Amino acid sequence: MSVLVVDYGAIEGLNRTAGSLTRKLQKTIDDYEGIAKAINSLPSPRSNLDNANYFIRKKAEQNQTKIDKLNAFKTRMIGFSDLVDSTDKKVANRITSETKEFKKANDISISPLVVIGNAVTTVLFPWTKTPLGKEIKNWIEKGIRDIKYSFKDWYRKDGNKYLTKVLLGLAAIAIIAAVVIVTVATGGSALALLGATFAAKFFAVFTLASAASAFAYDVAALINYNRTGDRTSSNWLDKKGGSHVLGSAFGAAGYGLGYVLGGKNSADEFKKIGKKFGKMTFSGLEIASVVYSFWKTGAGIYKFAKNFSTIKNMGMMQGKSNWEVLKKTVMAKSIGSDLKLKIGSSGVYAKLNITKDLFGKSATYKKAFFNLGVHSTVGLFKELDGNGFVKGLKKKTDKVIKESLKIGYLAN
Amino acid sequence: MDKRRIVSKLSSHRSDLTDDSRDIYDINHSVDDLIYDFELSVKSDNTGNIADKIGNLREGSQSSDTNISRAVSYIDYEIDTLNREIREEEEAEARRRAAASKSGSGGF
Repeated sequence: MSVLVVDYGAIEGLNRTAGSLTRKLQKTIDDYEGIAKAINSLPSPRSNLDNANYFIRKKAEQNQTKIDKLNAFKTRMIGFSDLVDSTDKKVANRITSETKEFKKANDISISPLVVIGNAVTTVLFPWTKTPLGKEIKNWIEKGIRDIKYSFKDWYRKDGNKYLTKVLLGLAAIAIIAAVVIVTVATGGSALALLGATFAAKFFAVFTLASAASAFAYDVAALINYNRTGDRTSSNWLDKKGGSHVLGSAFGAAGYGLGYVLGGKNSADEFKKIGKKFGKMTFSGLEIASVVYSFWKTGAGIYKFAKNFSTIKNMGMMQGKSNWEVLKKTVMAKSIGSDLKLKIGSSGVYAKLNITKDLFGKSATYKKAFFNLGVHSTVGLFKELDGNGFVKGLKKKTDKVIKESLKIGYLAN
Repeated sequence: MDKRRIVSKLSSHRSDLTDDSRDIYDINHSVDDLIYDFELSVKSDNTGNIADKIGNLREGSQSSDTNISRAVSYIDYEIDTLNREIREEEEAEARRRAAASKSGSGGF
């Protein structure tokens, strides 16, 4: 693929030159028209002068065509320049803001990113008049010929693309993971341990993670990339979201935790549990957060209404009227009990295939989920307890989760 | 209008059509500048095509321009015809004067 370099300053000069050429051509047209008019005023019984004028006017039309082409060219160059400029700025802004966020979130210095914007159909990079011109000029001076592929290789190399996104939101998912494990393990009463206002923080954080759910999937993308080196599937993962969000993150967390606690065999087992736990937890959390916001502030009414049919389809709500569902969800007083109610109740996750996968079609969902919940949370909690993690749980859990995630995605 | 006057005007217009070398030089110089500016603005392996198209805006010499050449030819026909008519008229006038002079010279 060829390289395209655009010099904004030179384009301005080009347009001035085109304007000057246009005026010169216009002068010739005016001259020809003047001659034709003068000839036309001379009396003659013959057609010679008419014929002469015909060809003079044809010449004038030729030059008019050249002017039209020049004007079209100028218009296209201006449009091209604008497109290049806006593309460049968009990419620069994006990289700038991501860089700032990254630095802010992680207090990590990173080298300036070289941005290649795509304009027209080929690689485009600006010169000195644009914000990133100098950096790009460095690239050129280093003799990198195929800038586009060089940049893409860098961006995608060793999962840099995924790594950047993962690191950006790592803190958020660590908090979520810690709180969920704690909350579920204790049936919701752990909320009291973490402060009366934690519920609000919990859901606020969850909303953050949910809204930025692509982040947690970036973990999966990075894991996948590190494991397979396959960009196509990693890109696919990178775009995923929804209920797989925590599934992947918890899978990684579980792997990491298991690895730390019991080596590879434990890691694999924990990974499976974590993944499934994560998926279920996401759904439960989403509903709980909608309920909570609706209950507390009424702010989530739109989202609640949007999810109403989903809530109604949950096992525990089946057969109930809309009013009863509303009462059950909106009127609940304790978020902890809501959580407990939803996670531990009968058939909440009836629709989830995961329970079928685990326990077969014959098992009741109530029992299936309950057992799963018990095994996964108690199992995890026992491990945590057995290793002295209960004491100082909050502090240590944060650290464990962070380390687990780190090990998890590196190990994968 | 007197034919001589017409011939004079046509000769002037003919000159105007064929002495634009300065304008042509300016135009072609601008075209070269335009190509240069374009190649400065946009560096790519694929710009040769566009540079060629800009080059097509150059003006050729007037003698090689078909439309100008044909216009000039028709003006020349007209000038030649007018000049011939002027000569014929002058010769006819000269003969008329000669005839008038002979008839007035008879004596007693």
